[in-house]
Amino acid sequence: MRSYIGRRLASAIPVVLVVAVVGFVLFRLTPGDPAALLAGDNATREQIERTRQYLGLDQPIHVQFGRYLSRLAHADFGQSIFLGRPVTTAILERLEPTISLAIAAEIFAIALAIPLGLLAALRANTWLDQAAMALALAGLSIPAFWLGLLLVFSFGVKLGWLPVGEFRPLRDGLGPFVRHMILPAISLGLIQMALTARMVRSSMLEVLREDYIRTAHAKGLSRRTIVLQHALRNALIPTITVVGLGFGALVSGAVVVETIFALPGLGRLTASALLNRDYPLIQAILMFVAMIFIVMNLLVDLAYAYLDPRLRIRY
Amino acid sequence: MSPSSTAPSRIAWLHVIVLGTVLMLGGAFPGLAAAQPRPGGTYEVAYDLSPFTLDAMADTISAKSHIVNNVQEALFAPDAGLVTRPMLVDKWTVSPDGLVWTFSLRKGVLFHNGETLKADDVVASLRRWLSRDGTWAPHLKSRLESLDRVDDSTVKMKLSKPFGAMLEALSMVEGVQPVIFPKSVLDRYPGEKDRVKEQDVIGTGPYKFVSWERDRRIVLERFDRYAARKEPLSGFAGNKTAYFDRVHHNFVPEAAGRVAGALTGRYDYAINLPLDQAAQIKTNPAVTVKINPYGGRSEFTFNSTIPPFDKKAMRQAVANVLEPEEMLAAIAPKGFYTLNSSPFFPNQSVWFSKIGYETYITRDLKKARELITSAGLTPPVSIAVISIPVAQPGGRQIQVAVQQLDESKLFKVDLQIMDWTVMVQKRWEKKHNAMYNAFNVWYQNDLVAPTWNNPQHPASGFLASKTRDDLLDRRLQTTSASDISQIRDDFHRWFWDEVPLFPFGNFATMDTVGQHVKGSQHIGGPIYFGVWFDGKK
Repeated sequence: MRSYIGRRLASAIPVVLVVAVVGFVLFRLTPGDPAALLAGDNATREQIERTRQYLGLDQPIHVQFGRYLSRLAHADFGQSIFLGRPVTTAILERLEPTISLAIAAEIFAIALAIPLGLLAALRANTWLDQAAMALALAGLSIPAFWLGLLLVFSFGVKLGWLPVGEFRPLRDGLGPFVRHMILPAISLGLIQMALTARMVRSSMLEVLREDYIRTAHAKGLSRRTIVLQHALRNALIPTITVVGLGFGALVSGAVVVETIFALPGLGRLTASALLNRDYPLIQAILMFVAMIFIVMNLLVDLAYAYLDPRLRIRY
Repeated sequence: MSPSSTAPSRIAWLHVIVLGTVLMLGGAFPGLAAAQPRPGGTYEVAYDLSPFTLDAMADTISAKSHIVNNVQEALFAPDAGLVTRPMLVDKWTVSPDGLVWTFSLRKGVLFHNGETLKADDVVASLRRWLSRDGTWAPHLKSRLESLDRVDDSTVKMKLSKPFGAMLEALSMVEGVQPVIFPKSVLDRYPGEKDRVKEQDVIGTGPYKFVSWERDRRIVLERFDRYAARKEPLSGFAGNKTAYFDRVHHNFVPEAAGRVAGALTGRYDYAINLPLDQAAQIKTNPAVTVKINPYGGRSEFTFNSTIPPFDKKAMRQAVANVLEPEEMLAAIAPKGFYTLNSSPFFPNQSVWFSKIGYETYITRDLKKARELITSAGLTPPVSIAVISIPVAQPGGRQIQVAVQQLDESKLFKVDLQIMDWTVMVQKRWEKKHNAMYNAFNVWYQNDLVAPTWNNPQHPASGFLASKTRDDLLDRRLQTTSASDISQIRDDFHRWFWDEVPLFPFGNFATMDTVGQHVKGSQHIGGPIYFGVWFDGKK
C-alpha cells in the first residue's frame, strides 16, 4: 500500500509541472499590468517602468519563465507582488477558513444527501422520490451567491438566529465556530448535496437490482440489514468519487461564499490575485488547488479499496 | 471662625450643589450626560477593501490611508473644510523671499515605541516621501536645495524657487503620505522599494497598530500617551483624542454583508453602503445614516494626443452633447448627487468655482454639430471609449454617456469594457479616444497635486497647455489668498475653454453608525478619533 501511495504521489509531479507551465503562460497572456497597478493611480510612466524593473517584469518572457522554474526547483514559489510577502505564507494564512468551510459544507452535503438519496431510491417513482429529487434539482439550480444573500437576510437580519458573516476560528470555541459556519456551509454545500443525493439514488437503484441483494432477501435478512449493510456500502463506491472530487471543487469554488460571508479564505485571496494580476500568487494557488485534486483522487482510490476488498489486492 | 477658613467651606458646598445638579440632570436627561466623551469599548467597523500594505509611502490605495490616518501623523493636516492646519508642527516661518522654511516641532510628542519626536525623524521621513511621491514631491524636489535638522525640534528647508503649496503638500491624507516615522524604523528599510512591515508602522497618532489578520481584520489600540493638540477636532486636524480601547477594522467586501451587519448591530460603523438601500436602512431605529455628499467625482476624460479629441472644438462638442444629471442619476437616487462643473469639490472652499456651470449644464446639439464641422469633420464621428464594466457604478455612468452620444447622431461610439487592471494598462497606450475616470476628494486639494491636472498623466487626457503650465507656476510661487482666488478663476475659465475632461458631478457616499456612537465625522474614510460610545454598549 505504501509503495502504491508513493508511486501515485510521484506520478503527480509531472501533472503539477504541467499546471505550473500552463498557468505561467496563460496568466502572462492575459491583459493587465500589475506594475501600473502597484505603482498607483498617481504614478508617472517612469515610476511604472521602475516598478516593472523592480518586479522583473521587464525581462523577456523566457527569462522570466527560466527564473520561475529555477525557483520552483528550490520549492520557492516567490513573493506576492501586492502583499509583499512569500506566497506560501499568504496561502497558509488563508487555509483555515477555506478548509473549515469546505469540510462543513461537505458534512452538510453528505448528512442530507445520503438519507435523501436512500429515501428516493427505496421509494422510487413515488411522490417521496419526486419530492426528494425536486429538492436536489433546486439545490443544483440555486446559485450560491443568491442563496447566501437569502440566508443572510432571513436567518441573520430578520430572525436574528445566526451571525451574518465573518470567520471564527476553532480556537475561539466550538460554539462560535459552528454558529458562524452554518450559513456559509449551507450556501456552499447545497450543490454538492444535490449532486451526491442524485448519485446515491441512482447507485442504490442499480445495486438493489443485483443478484446478491435478491439472495440476501432469499436468506431472510431484514430489509434494514440488506439496505444498510449490503446495498448502501456498495452504492457508496461511485458516490465517493463525487464526494471526493467535490471537496476539491468546494475548496476552489469558495470565492463567492467567502465574499458574501466575509470569510478571510483562499477564495478571496484568489479573486484578489486574479484582479490584480499577482502572477506569483495566482500560479501558486493554481498549483495548490491542483495538488488538492491529486490528493483527493488518491484518497478516493484508497476509499474504494476500503469499501471493496477485491480492489485491495491490486495495491 | 475666620473669614479665610469659612470661604473654602462655602466653595466646597457650592461644588457639592453644582455636582448634585449635574448628576440629577444627567439622570433625568441621559442625552446630556452622553454628550461628554467617555473612553472605553471596542469599535466594530465593517470596511470594504483590504489594503496591500500599511506603509503610508508604499502605494496610493485609500484602504491603506484609512488605517494610517488613525495611527500616524504628518507635520500638517486638513480640517473638515480642507484648510491646512498644523499637526506635529508647533510654529513655522517662511522667509520674505519664500526660499527658507523653518518648522518648529511640538514638544513632548511620543511615538508608539516610546521615542520622542525629533527633527531627525522628520528629516528621514520627508526624504523618504520626496523619493516616492509622484504628485507634490516632484515640484518640491525640483526646488529643494537642502532639508536639514537645525536642532532636536527644528527642521529647515532651503529652496531655489518659492513653493507656495508647501503646507498643502505636507498635509496629504491620501496617496503617498508625508507621515512621520521614527528614524530608527526607517533606518531598517533603506531600499527604494522597501515596504515598512505592519508591526513597524509606528507613529504619533491616537491609535497604535496591534495586529492584522489578512482579509479578516486589523486591530488598533488606543495610545494612552498620545499628545493631543488643544484646538477642537475638525477633520484630520485639532484634538484627535482616542476614546475606544480598541478598534476592530473588519474587512467585509460584500455590501450586503455590511448592510446586514449594520442592521443587526454587529458593526458600530459600516462604510460605503449601497445608496439605493438608503430608504430601507433609514427605517431601522438602531442605526443612523451618515451621508458624505461629496464622496466622489466621475468624469469622461479625453485622449488629446490623437484625433478627434486633439482638437479643442471636438472636446467642446462632447460637452454640448452630454447631459450630466442623467449620468449622476444612473448611480445615485435624487438627493445623493450634486451637479458640479468644477473639477474641485463644492466643500473645497479655496478652489471651488461655478465658472463654466452654464456650459456644463447646457445641452446644445446644434452648437455641437457646428463645432464638429468647424473641426473639419462630418458627423457621426467614430470614437473608442474604454470603461470599467457596467456592473460597477462608474460603468453605468459611461453607458449613459455613450447612449447620449450615440442618440445625438453626432458620434458613433465603440464602447470597450474591461476590468480596472486592464484599463490602467490601456490608458497608457493612448489608443483610446476617451475613458471613464473617478476621484475622491483628498487627491485634489489644490491645483498642483491632482493627476487630472498633470499633462504627463492619462487622467488629464495628456493635454499639454502653456496656459495651464503658467497657472501652475503662478500657484507654486504664491501663498497669498487673493492671488490664489485669481488663479482659481483663471483656471476654471481655461478648463471650460479647453475641456480636458467632462466632469459628471459629485456623488454621495453613505455610511451607518449605531445610535450609541457619538462624535463620528463623515468626510471621507473612517476616522476613529473623537468618537465614543454613549454608554449603551
